[in-house]
Amino acid sequence: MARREFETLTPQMFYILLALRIPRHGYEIMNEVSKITDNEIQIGAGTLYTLLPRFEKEGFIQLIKEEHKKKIYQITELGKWKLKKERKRMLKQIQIMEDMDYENKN
Amino acid sequence: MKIRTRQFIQLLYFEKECIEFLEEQARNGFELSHIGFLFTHFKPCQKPLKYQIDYHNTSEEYWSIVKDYGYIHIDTYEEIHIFSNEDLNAPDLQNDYEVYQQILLERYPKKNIIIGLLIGLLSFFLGCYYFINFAPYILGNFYLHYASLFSYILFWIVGGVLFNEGLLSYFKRKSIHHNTYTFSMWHKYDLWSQNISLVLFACFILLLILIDMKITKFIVLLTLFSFIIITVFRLMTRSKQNFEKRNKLFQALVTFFTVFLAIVLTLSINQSPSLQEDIPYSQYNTPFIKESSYFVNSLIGIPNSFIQGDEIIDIRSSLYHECRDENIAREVLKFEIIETERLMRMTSDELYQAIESHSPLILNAKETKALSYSNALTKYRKIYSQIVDDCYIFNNFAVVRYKDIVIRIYIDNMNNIDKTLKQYFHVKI
Repeated sequence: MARREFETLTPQMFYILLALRIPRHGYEIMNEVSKITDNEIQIGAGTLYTLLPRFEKEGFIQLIKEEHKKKIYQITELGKWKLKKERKRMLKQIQIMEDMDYENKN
Repeated sequence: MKIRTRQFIQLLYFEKECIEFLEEQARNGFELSHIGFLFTHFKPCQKPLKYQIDYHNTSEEYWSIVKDYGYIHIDTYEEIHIFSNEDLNAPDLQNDYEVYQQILLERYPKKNIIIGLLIGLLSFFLGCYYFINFAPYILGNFYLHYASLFSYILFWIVGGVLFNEGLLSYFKRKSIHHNTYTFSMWHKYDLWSQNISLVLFACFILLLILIDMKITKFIVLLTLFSFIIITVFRLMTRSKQNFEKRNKLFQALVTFFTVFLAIVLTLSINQSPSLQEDIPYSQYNTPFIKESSYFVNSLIGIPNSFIQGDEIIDIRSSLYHECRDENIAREVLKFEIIETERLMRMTSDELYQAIESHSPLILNAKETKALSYSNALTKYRKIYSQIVDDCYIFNNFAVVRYKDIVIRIYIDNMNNIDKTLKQYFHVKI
């Protein structure tokens, strides 16, 4: 089924937004995501630099300043709301799974 | 040794298969050198390489990160960047399928579907409308307004191509959503849509050549022959899906034929059919265009030859066609007779009645009814003149053919028509 863009977040999108809770530029975001996920999730440079302008356009992040040709972004209130919504969705998924007692039955 | 291939560009739009192909080539000892106008070039390399494809990104920050990862930018084709890396374990540039899917979807936006289908259909029906309404099926009309024939067929071709684009966009979007957007799946559709466009274009050119009805010129025959060869060869080579090296001689041959064809067609289209108006259109541009030109025709610059009002009475603004040969002049004459008659329209019954009561022609009623309208018209209007080859009289107008010249002139005194014609042609010729 067709989905709207950013209807739900992929892990890469989720961690980018999470990493931007403090202002960061592209390279820092990639390092931060690798660090907080123990290298499990790595953001490709192409993916990151495709997503940043789109997030900015959606209003999830904003450009704080530009230093040495490096753009520094930070999450906005809308972005935080999006993260909370995503958390709620994931919690609901876990809740349903636990209600079914999935781990013990399988 | 270098390799050149032409079909790489089609593969570029399918990231996964394209990377697989490039990496396979690198393992076989060939790395991508650059994407040229006609060919994609490969050069020998020693090591296997990792390839990555990325889109749109142009910020300096991005380029510096890509460089830090050890990627070398090879070439860019329509915002598709190709990178190679000697480090086979370097991180991928695009690793989120959903982002890649969005990039693909943006390549076939919804507006393309709507515009393609709507304008395609509109263009097609507009072509039909023009064809039915404004093209009497007379060869003379073609010789006079052959540019307008281009417009009908161009409308159809443009309509067909746009409609096809719209449909393809729709199905490609569907395919992207269902994760079935692969080269192996779409290659044949792309191939067919290209081939259909090619065949349409071929038909268009063939029609232009055939309608001239003079395929005696060596050059035209040669063009036809070379065009058929190109079409057949292209169809043959396009259906092959291997991207191995091509026969250089064959490629050079096709390129040569294409260039040759372009030059010859340009020359032959300019040559046939050659019609001249002795009065430049610009002199009576205003009444000409204002009264009788249709909107689209005037947009694409086709002057319309219906002449109305007082303009026709002035001898300087009479029709004057100098045709390439007498055969064409005869066809143009037929058309001009019908056109002149339109200005003084008679119903069929009036015309047949007039023929029966017309003294020089002795035809019975049955024979008269059997004549087609244009034939009846020809018989009724024709008079014999010693000065010119054909002469037709319509009230105060005469449509006249003298050798390869067709004119329509105003005549004061019908009893003295030969004198007027003599004077006119004496001045003109």
